[in-house]
Amino acid sequence: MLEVRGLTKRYAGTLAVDHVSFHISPGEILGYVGPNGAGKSTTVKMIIGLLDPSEGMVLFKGRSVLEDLAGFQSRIGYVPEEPYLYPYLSGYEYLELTGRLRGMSAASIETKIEEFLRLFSLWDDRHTPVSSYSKGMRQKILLSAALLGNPQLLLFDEPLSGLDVTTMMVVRELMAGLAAQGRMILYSSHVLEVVEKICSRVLILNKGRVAAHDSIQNLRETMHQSSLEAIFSDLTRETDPHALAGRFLEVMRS
Amino acid sequence: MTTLRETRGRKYELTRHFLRHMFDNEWSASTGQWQSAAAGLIALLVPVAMLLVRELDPMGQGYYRRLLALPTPERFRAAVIADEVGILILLSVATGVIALFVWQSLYPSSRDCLALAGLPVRPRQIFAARLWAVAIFAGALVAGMNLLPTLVAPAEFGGRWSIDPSWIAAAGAQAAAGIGACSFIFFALVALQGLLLNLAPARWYARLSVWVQALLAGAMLLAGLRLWEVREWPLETVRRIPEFGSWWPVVWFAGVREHLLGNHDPFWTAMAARGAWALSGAVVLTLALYLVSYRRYRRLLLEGPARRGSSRVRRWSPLDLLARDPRQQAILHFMAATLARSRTQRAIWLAYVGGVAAILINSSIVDGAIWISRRRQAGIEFMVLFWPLACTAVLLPGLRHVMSIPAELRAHWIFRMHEAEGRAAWMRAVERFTAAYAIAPIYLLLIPVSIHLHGWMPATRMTLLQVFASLTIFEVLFQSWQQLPFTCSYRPGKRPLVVIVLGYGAMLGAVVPVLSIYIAAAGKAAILFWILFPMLTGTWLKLHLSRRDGWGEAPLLYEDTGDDVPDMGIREMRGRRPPLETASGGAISS
Repeated sequence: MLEVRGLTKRYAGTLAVDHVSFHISPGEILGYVGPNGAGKSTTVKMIIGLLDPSEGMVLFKGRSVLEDLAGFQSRIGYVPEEPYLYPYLSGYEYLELTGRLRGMSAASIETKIEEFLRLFSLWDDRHTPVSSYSKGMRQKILLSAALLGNPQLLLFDEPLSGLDVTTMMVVRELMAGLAAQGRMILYSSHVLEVVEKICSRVLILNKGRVAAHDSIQNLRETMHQSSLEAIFSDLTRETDPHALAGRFLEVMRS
Repeated sequence: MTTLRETRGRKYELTRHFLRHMFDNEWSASTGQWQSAAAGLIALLVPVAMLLVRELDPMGQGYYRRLLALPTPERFRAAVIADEVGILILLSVATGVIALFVWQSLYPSSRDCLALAGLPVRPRQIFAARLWAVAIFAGALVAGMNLLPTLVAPAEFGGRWSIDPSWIAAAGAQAAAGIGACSFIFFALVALQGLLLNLAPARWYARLSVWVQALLAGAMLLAGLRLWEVREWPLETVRRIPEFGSWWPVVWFAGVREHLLGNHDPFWTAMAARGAWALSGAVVLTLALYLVSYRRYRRLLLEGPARRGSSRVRRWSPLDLLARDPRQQAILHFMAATLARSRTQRAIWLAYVGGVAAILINSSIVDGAIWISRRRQAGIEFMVLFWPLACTAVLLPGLRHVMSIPAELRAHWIFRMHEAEGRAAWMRAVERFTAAYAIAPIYLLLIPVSIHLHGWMPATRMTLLQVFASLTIFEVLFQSWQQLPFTCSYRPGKRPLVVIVLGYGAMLGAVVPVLSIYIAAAGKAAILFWILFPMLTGTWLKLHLSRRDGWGEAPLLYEDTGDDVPDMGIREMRGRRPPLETASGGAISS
């Protein structure tokens, strides 16, 4: 189980994440949603060890991940929000680099890369530099890199960004399959329809704080709303979208 | 200032944009970082330029006064020509280096076209604005470069034996020669790039362009180092210029000066005409190539085929010989790929390689190792002795510099995620890579020559000492290296350029030659070898152990904080957390 306890991050006095706590059990997908700047990506980066928390801790199977950060990192797969990749490496080379960094054998790397690239229809472009890839192709490379090490915990930060409809459906099914195999998934996204469909529980973050954290069914009942979008809107909305759009139109005309 | 802030026409705004970012290219990590490098370059060039004024040089004071006192003008005029050629070499090389520095800004790039694609700007306007920016930049550069020589040279070269004693005439002739030489070099380089852009296949252009850039940088350095020798040409050599110098651009423009001052020698008149034709040719060719490039810009810049790698699956690489551990292999392959394919890294590394080639060729010419056949044996001995250490002394700091510069900084998250798993293995890979790239090749190349020249035992003794000297230089340079190559942010200008150049000068002019003499002696006398060998290996071992202390324990650095890291050492940094909360590491970015 992954457990996050009172995770807090301050940047020069600004509170980006404020005492966030949750857990993910094996076979569970936790939807992690919130408006822009809510602290979603910061939380994910603290979990994987890219950022040091100002307070709080992350526990994996009951032990602080700091006790064996390397061991923890070898069990996770991460898809970052932005497809930052080395542009001069080909997709194949990038995956090879990832596999080697994970200490995988050459034979295993080769087999898995070929399979993943074929499954994602990237085989023909495997030797093309990443700089020539479309956003969706880069996202497929990131997904392949995350899955390459057969991780127990997957942290997806907007994994569907840039993907075509078919691949999106495949990835959704894939996430469900991964959860069915007992893997833990943290799914951070703005696409609430997908979150609603695949996540067992959802955590809504607003200005770094947990605004709601429960199963979608319970949230619907508690908040007397029919959809996650309505719940989200209720909890995070500060301005009237209609009025805001009107203001944009006014400024354009001015 | 308010006027400058006002929005003007598109052409004006585009020209201003291009001019403002003329130096912001692959050499700098972010906008405006070139200023410190420029300040350093000026600080370096000013004393060099002052040394050209003989009256300011303690060794050369009274030089022209003595020549003016001679009964005939020949020696005075020959000295003026030699000095003039020297000045023109310096001006041309400096202009050429700056033109190479802004190489990527000389023509519109595909990025310019794509970035401005959504705006109401036509390709014609982009090309016109870029051409204007290049022309304004060239004008300012050439004028700035020639201001001091135009004022100082007439005073330096004046006197009873000067062809035209008028200060105004001398200043005008000097200005024409200097401006002509600088403009020719600048526009010749612009035209050369235009030719590459138009003639090279679109998918080869980027790679070819970097090779040409590096080659020219080496050539500039090679020419620059000849400056001091040229100034000391005796009368006999100046008389022989028509035999060897009629295709030197600087001689053409020295001819412009001579001709304008009234020297009607047919050779100098011909040279002046050649200079005028060359300059006009370079400018016309630049304009023509801009026009052609504009006409074909879509095919050249936007419709070039997407780069595709080789379809051949690589099963084995020589790098696999350096390590078997997959984590080390990961770093070795990453480093090799970055050095070979990342434009910035490749360009800077090739500049260092070009630099070292220039130094080796120059030193060998000065020593007589190349050209003088009767000294061939001694010359080859010089190469075997001097080259390995000189190569190490330039390439190791060069590789360290290149590895300090990030390649796609935000992509380093992949390493940060896996750092704890393989930090020690990664650092071992860096060691091996550096040895394989900057130390091993020159020894592998020269060991057979050394054996042929000295026999097995002396050659082995010499090579052993040289290798340990190179490894010691490596240990000194990498004593506090605490980052994965190409993944840490970089803050340039931490050390003034003058200090860097003086450091190279001291290393190549004093340390390496002295050490080479000792090594040569130790190679021939076994007893000396057994004195020098323990000293060198002991120094290397001490430094090696000190560098390895804390190896793989301290977290790697991903941000150049500007601290004096080179002085700290790994032990002091142990336990220090890397500054993670940075823009590069990802701040509040949900």
